[in-house]
Amino acid sequence: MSEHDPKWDDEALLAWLLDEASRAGHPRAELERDARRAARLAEVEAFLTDCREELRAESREPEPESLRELERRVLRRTTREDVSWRGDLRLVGGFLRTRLRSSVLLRVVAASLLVHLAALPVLAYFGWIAPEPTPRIAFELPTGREGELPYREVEPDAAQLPVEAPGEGLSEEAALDSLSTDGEAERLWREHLKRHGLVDLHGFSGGPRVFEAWASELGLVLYCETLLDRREASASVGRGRHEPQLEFALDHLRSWLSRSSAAGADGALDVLAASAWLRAREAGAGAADAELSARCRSWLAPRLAPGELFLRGAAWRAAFERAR
Amino acid sequence: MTGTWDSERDPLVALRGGDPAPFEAFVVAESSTFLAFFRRLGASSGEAEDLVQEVFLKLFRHADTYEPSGRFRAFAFRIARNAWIDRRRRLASAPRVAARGEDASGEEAEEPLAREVASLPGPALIAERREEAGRVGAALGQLSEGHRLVFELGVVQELSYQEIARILEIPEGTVKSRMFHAVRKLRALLEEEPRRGRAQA
Repeated sequence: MSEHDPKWDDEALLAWLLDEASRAGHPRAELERDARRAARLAEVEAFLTDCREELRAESREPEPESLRELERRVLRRTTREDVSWRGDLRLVGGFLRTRLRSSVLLRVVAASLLVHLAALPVLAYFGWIAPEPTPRIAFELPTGREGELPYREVEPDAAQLPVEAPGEGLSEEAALDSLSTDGEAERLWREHLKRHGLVDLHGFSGGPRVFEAWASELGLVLYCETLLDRREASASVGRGRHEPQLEFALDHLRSWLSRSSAAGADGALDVLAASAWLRAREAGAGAADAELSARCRSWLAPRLAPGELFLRGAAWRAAFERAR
Repeated sequence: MTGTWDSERDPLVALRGGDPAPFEAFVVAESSTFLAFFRRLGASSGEAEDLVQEVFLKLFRHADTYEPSGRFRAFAFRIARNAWIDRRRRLASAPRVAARGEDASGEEAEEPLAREVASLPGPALIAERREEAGRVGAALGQLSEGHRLVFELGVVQELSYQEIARILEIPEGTVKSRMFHAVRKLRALLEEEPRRGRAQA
């Protein structure tokens, strides 16, 4: 560069060549007045021109197709942006594609989501459409001989029965209710029925319907029988807690006997009722015969003998069973 | 840049006036310019395409608030340079990728300098670019980024020192100095190359 003018060193010459502002006020002729500076200027200028040309030539030859695609992509997202729902979808799709391409974890999550979505209709089919499997219900019948009870009957031990004052803790209404709703009572008379072989003796095996038609009357009779049994069992320790119930049951039995006698009824069940009455009378429980009407007593009289016979037979059978 | 994009041809002024044609023409004409600019700065071809797209999108979004205060191309290169810096920062903060061949162990560099080094293109990428680029491009790739940017903006894009100073946010004197050193080093590299070639032969 110029050795005579330190103002125009290489840096300044370069600035003069490249920067318009540096050229202001310094025409080329002024610089080229010095031959060596002119040569230096021409040399640097040629170098810069060569570099510029070569670099620009490089930038003019990128892959044309990818460049066109890039331009299309830019225009699609700027001046030619599709503002309809299709454009929105394309935008979201493009975003998802980019994200999926850049993250392995996201790809795994997306694949998992796809699998779950694909499985959903199958689960829906089994959950809502497919017929429910029919439940299999099996009944286990008790093994053993016909007529034999499927359990062992245990007679109450008199010594273990509680001693209570008559009527303690029991109202009349509760006692009456117990005749119709007491599950234990129903169970007891059913047991009693079987225990005394009544099903066979009186032909009650016609089926549950016949049996149920008689249920309330038969239940009353057998309930009385059961209570009398308990009364006998607890005789050694005094009057038991069932005494008030027995009183009420006998009251009901009395009114039933009165109704039956008034209607002139006659059947196997009347014999049973008579036997229960007879047994109560002998045990000294409940109301006396005097409380029955004359008509009722006359109706009852012919039935007492068979009832007594049945009572004795049943007692004998029970004793035999116990002995066995 | 292949043309002037100022006054009535300013793409953003036209856009604001409802005329997209200059912007579209600018995109079609200058995509290759920006692509080459980013490639020379060290971006891979995919990265360069992303960056070019980012620049155009940023320009498009600036249309509403744009106030022309100089040549449009200077403004466009300012956006491009910012996009490049953002890219560099993102790369620097991202974990290093073993596939680049820089750190097979996958250990993350903790020092900022190490992170910056990690964000630079790997040797394989540099070698690939040298093969792709011509003699000058390859030599330019050996300059520091500061020198490369000044040379690129001043010599190739023909921006004034003042514009370069505004783009790079450095004093004009620094631009002048960097340009001088960039040219001197580039000349040295280009003069050295034939001698190296002869020696190898």
